[in-house]
Amino acid sequence: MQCYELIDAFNELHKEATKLQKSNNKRRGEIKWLEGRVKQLEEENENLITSLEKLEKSKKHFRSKDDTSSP
Amino acid sequence: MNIATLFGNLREHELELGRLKEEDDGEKRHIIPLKSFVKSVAKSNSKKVEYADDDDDYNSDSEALRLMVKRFSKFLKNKNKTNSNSVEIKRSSRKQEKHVVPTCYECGKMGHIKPECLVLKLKQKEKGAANKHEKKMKAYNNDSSSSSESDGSIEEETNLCLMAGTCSSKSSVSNFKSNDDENNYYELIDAFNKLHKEATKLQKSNNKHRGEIKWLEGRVKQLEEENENLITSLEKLEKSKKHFRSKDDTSSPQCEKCPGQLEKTDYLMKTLSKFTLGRSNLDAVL
Repeated sequence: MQCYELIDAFNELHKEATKLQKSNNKRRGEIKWLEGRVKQLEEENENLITSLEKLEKSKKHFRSKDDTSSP
Repeated sequence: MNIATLFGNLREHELELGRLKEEDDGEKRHIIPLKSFVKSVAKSNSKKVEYADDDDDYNSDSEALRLMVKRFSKFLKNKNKTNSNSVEIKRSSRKQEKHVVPTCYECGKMGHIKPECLVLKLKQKEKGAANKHEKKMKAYNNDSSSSSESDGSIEEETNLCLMAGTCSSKSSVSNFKSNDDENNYYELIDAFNKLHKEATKLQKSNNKHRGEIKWLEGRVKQLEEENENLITSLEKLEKSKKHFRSKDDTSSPQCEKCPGQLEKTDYLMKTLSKFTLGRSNLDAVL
């Protein structure tokens, strides 16, 4: 009987292990997608920051022009 | 040597002694009439002869004792011989059993036993997991069915008794089977332990992945918020830029119309006309 109990426990453990393997693979895929999304967002942020800097520079230029023209 | 065997030996010894005493008494009884006969014949002899008779009695007692000791030693020797003979007989029977060529109960060929039979191994490989399932089902049926259990158990007991009675070589086969079962059991335990280790590893990696996913989700949210903020600030800046441009466009006509600029342009136009007049006069003179 002990042998059969051991076989049952082995089968249950095998099922749990297969479930864990599946969830593990699924999570690996999620992690990959999230890493790609993070990279994309970081690139977008960098582009936005550069465009913001340019705009700020042009704003400063306009302001200085305005200051010189006003007197 | 156990206490029981010691007591048994002592009991046998006592019985033997009793038997020997009885025999000695019988001999004495035989001797006594002779003595009496001798005494009756030689009654007329002197007192010295009576003393000699006393010595003869003493000698006969000693002889009886010697006889008893001899018989006891013979008995012990015989007993040892019988014991040694029984041991030798057992050894010889075991040797004969060992020397007997085994026969397979699966294919019926000589030279190997059932667990070593190739036919059986092939069959076991073919059956594989199906046998395990059948065993499980049998165990389940044994647990569930209580009515047929008693008859079945009686039949099994009778079969087992018959098997034990028929031959001793089958017991060796059963020993091999039990050894195989034990080996399978230990292999199963090893496999179970390995699987448990793998499962624990998977659980750990799963937890690790969960943490990573949480961190990445937080990072994505943070980056999205930053992105939105940057987009709003960009929109604001673009709006302000447009406003400045429109301001610039509107400011330039005002500058043209302002009086200071008009005076400057008038002054510059006058000077330019003077210079053009002077140039034409110089050309005329030349």
